[in-house]
Amino acid sequence: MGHAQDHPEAGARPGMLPLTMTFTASALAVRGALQAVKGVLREQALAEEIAGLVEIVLAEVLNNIVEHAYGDEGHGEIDLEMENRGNALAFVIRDAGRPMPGGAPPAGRPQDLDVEPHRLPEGGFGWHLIRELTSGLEYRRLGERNELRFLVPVDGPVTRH
Amino acid sequence: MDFACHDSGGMRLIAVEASRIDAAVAIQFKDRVRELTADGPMRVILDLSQVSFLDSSGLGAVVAAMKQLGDGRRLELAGLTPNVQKVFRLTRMDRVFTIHPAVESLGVGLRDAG
Repeated sequence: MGHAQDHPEAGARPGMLPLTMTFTASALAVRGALQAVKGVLREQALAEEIAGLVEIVLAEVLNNIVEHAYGDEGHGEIDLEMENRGNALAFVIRDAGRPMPGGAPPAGRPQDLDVEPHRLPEGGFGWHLIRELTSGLEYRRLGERNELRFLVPVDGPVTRH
Repeated sequence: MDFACHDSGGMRLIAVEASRIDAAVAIQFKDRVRELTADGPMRVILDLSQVSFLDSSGLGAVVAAMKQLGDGRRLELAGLTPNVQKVFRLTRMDRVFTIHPAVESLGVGLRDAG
């Protein structure tokens, strides 16, 4: 079944929103959290396409916390809340890691790909993906914690992806 | 992660036998592909048809794998599933790689001896 840290406690009945989860800030536990979120979205009968976009966004947000907020300082925890607002899924992600540099999320501007192959970037794609797929992105530092809020639209613009 | 490697028609076909190329395995992926392409044909095709999810770490690892091939060698991709396609499209990396719909469209028999 795997380790406890890979299977987050879901603070809601399976399939019901709002969902609250707490899990270890590790790449493997993030995988478990993504699976749990997708399971809940499936129960909500949300389109597979939406679940796919949610997974992309959450993977980037959560992996950023693992790598940058906590970094080499060992594993902290991540709190995730998800609720269905009808036209969007609303997320609140909290962690106790380092503040975001500059006090704001990166702009995530597209990188210049018109370069020689050996000069192509291997990173820096994450925030562009997050900004492309979300709306209402807000970051706050509350005491010793980071809080990130965003919406993933369930209709409208998302269909262009 | 497992890979199935097969040379045919002047190409090395590498099928990724994992459902995710993500932060948890990106470094492992990059290292294994480097080992599998240390020598061999100029043209390498990465078959991603079994990969249902790839994040920015996975994308970076694919770019790194391409760079590892060195001068004159090409890394092409095949069989991108919908969510993987989305990541390539949103980052515009679908303009950087040659992407085939499926390994079958390359016209090589899976049973050809290398």
